[in-house]
Amino acid sequence: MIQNLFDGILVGSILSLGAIGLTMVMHMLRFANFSHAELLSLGAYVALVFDKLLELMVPGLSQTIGGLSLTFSLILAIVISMGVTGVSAIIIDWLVFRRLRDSAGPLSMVFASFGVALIVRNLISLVFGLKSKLYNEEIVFAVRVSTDPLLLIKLDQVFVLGMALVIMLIFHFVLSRTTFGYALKAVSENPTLAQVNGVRLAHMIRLIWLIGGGLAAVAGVFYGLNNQVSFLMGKDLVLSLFAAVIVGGIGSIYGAVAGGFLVGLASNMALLILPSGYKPAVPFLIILIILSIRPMGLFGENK
Amino acid sequence: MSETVLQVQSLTAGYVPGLPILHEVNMRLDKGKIVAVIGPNGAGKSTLIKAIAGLVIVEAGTIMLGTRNLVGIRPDEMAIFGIAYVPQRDNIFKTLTIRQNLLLAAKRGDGPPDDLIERMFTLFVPLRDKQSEKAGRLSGGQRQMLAIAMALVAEPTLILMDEPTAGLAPMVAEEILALVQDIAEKGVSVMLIEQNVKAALRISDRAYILAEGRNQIDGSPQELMDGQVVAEIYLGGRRLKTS
Repeated sequence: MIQNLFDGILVGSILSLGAIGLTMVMHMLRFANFSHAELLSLGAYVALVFDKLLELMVPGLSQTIGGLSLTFSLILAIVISMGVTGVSAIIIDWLVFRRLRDSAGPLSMVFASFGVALIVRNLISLVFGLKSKLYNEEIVFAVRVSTDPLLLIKLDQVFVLGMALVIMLIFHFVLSRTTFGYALKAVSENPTLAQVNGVRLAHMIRLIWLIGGGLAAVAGVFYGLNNQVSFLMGKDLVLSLFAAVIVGGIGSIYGAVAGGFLVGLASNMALLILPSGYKPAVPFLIILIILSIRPMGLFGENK
Repeated sequence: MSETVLQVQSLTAGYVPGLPILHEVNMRLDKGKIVAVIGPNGAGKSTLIKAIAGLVIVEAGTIMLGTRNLVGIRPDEMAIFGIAYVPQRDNIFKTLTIRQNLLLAAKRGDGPPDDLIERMFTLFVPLRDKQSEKAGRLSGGQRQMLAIAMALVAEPTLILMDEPTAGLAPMVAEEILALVQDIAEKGVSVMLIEQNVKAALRISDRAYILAEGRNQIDGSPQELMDGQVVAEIYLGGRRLKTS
């Protein structure tokens, strides 16, 4: 049970990172963006490319850090990937969603997001192939933390969990202590009032894509570290991300974090009583339960 | 002669291109004066104020702030020209604290935000005590107070106010209107949309009556009241100008 609990928290932290960007976009741009999960795949592959490039350019960076399978080059590659994925999200918005925002309804945006998801997913498979990849080919053994109950943890997992929490704490600081954070909340609550208070809407939309894409990239790399890097990552994660956002309350960043952990935990804890084949159904079950109690989600506000 | 701050000429504007709500509206506002815009529901009063704030589509006409035409300027740029806008509803950020609301608005102004906010707390003492509370928890009157403080904090030269007394208890509404007069006495020009015609005429220096998106009549409050135009329009006895 404790193993499922740990795995659930780990997966939850990854989902939370991905769900933050999704909830911001859904609330501010008023559409369900089904292509957001593909940014996780994109981020994971961009990091893979830059990891290999950096290793080739500076061989010293290929050294692993402590007992982790992570290399210095991968850490740098994650940072680069955050930027590249964030900018890619802005470009996708510029090419597709921005054009539809003014001229079409939210439903057109949703369908367009399905199209974007398919294009990104298939482009990745075209470039990188259908076979899954690993950041580090060496076998990393888990450490036996406890025998009864059995708890096996890889150091990489501790790193992923720790970094995810640090990133969320930094984001919390930005939201609650900086004028940029206030502006972000202001735009989410009332875009018109934010504008007349001097906030440039187009600029904030770009920043939201940049942040959402950056966080998605980290989530993608962390998911890849914990599993494998596959072009199907986005497809596998999209429903869990939506469940996290809906359960947490659309527009609530803290709700997205709570929803991510809840979905991650519930999906893994459910394995104790359900066959693993039923795992994908768990997020839907959570949505049904939470929304029947709180229709606006855990942290959502009454309209 | 008074210095003209704002001059609206032949303004045609609306929310949907080709379907204007305002038709060739004219108005003028002098420095440190209060201009009231009154009229029945659907007259286009809010549309006029939104057009000046850059929030609706202007199809024709000019909005001159001094020598600068404001048509085509983004709402977030208005502060650069010293314009502040207090919307009728949803005029504060409920999820932010009072201080955070003011801090966001103070970024538009010149000078350190903390100093600008401190000035507002001197003017609106009840807000100082509640500065760490979420703005959504304020009473109706205090919300209006915060909305006006958010407009004033950046030290504008022109404030556009859309029904600042709507939904307030009569005594609180009186306080808000007294505040509007104080603001004008300090040299800030105020354009005020008000449903309470008597109150609007009492505090304004000039009033414009709109109906069906067109100017009907304008003049000093005394002229309008003496001519009984206000009563006639509101009682429906006067034929409205429709073209």
